[in-house]
Amino acid sequence: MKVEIDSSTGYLDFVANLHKTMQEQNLILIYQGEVNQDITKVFTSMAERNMEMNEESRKTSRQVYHVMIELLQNICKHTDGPTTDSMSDIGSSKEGIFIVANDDDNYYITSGNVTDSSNIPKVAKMIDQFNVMSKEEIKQEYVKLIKASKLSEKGGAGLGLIDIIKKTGNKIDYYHMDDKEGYSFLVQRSTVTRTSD
Amino acid sequence: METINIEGTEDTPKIILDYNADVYEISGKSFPEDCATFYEPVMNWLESYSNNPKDKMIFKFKLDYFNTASSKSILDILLALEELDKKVHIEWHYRDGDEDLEDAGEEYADMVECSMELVKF
Repeated sequence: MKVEIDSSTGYLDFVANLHKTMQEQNLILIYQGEVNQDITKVFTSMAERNMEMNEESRKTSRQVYHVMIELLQNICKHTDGPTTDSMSDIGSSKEGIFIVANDDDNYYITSGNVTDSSNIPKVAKMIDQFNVMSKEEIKQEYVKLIKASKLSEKGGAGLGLIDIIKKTGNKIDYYHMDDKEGYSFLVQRSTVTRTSD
Repeated sequence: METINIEGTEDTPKIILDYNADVYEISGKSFPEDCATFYEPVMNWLESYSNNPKDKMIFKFKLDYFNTASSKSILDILLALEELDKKVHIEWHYRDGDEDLEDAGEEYADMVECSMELVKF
């Protein structure tokens, strides 16, 4: 969808429609741009306040908060696309998309970022493997991984995805769009089931 | 020994490691941008402490939240405490009803050979 920002009527119309779509889809937060630690802090404290206002259970709020932090920090640490100067069709490094939505049963936290296409098989294999594990298997695998892991230069422990599955008890969905320059836009969605206290 | 007294922030915990006052505590939230750098002074302090450990040390974790990178750093701290042998007792405090923090405490207790107690507040 191409929107002419200069043509004020078309643009304002687009904003009004975007607002409508966000309401219809129960999109609580949509963000496209650079993700850093400050953004992570702002989004998570905002989500914490919102969920308190909506009287979400403590368990639901904690899980949404945790998944948001892990996915946002994931974008900060693992985004390794082309620089803004040599931007490809799918975006540049340090940028990502981040969406929080809900329905009656679940919260959906979705993140997308540019990565080197060579990373995709590794991530896909990992998610596929975790997705089919039982609760007990996930727990055992987590213990194995935390003992073996080392904090990377980028500061991650490589435990984010398995920990999300372990805490939420839900699978992670993923999708990737590849360009010709060897970069991919990787989208991941985590689900938090709403529970009452 | 040098005292570590770091004030807590929105994404980093409050840390007190005070040899003279016998207070060893990490509390609050932990999801720093760079976990390894943040916890480095703690690891260095524990190494110095191990050269001249007291007969008994009670190390308290009173965390509200930590991310996965911090969970690795916490395990590193626990493993350093484990090295001190039986001279250390760990208190893992968790808020009543916070299953994630309670589970985390139980998991850590299984992973390290330390005297560890889960304390509900």
